Amino acid sequence: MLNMQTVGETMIVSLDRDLDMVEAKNFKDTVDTFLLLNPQIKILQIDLADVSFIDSSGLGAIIGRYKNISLRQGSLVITNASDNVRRILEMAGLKKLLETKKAKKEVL
Amino acid sequence: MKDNYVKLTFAAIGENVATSRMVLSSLLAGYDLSLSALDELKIALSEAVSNSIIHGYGEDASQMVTVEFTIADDILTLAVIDQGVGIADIKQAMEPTFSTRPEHMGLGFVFMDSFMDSLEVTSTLGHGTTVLMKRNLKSEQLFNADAV
Ligand SMILES: Nc1ncnc2c1ncn2[C@@H]1O[C@H](COP(=O)(O)OP(=O)(O)O)[C@@H](O)[C@H]1O
Ligand SMILES: [Mg+2]
Repeated sequence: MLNMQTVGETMIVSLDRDLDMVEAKNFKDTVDTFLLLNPQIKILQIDLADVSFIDSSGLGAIIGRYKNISLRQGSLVITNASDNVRRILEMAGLKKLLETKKAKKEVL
Repeated sequence: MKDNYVKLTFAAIGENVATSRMVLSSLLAGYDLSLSALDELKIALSEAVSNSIIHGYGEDASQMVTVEFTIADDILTLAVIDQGVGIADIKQAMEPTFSTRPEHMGLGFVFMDSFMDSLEVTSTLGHGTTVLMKRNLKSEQLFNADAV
């Protein structure tokens, strides 16, 4: 299931299902409701460690949340994407949202 | 590998996009495909089935989508068939980023086209849409064997 955690201004959403039209909608609804109720959130971190599949519905949901968080001058970062998922995100032009290896080390 | 044919008909609900991917995965289990090749095939199927459910039927659960999986001479053919609203302008629909819905990427046909060897779309307004896609599975295996 979709798991949420907040640390200060950061909201971490961990997904663990195929990010297709069903999970994309679930993700979108949950995050949008939470963001609406929590105006202090400025960073949306999407953890894809347990996601092995994404299609264009999943991409649409991520880009939509990116637009929403940008509207409040916030940012979005995608962490721990598998090779397959990373490849699709890059094909869709979302490379800039993927955490770099360096950033990951700094966090740890 | 043995030739095979499976015809799957299911209600037009989002949950069945995963159902169709599962059937595809198990049909391909005997092929030593790379993870990325399998992923590409699953995405292409996912896109076509999602389109039938979302655009063809507006997620009307009483409607049915059919997927025909054919493996013949190591060529996979996927036919995704709906009797939904149909597509007015197929050429326009297939253009990258074209979508008739907000917050949709317009990447479905782009993925189907780039991940399959061939893609054919036939559609009649008010009668439905058929998406026919093929990919050679043998060339993937040879490619893998070379890579190892
Ligand atoms: N099975 C279908 N029935 C009706 N319209 C469809 C179907 N498949 C695709 N379309 C139309 O083609 C457009 C482009 O499809 P696609 O490339 O998958 O992008 P998206 O699904 O993000 O809109 C859709 O917005 C829709 O108007
Ligand atoms: Mg689509």
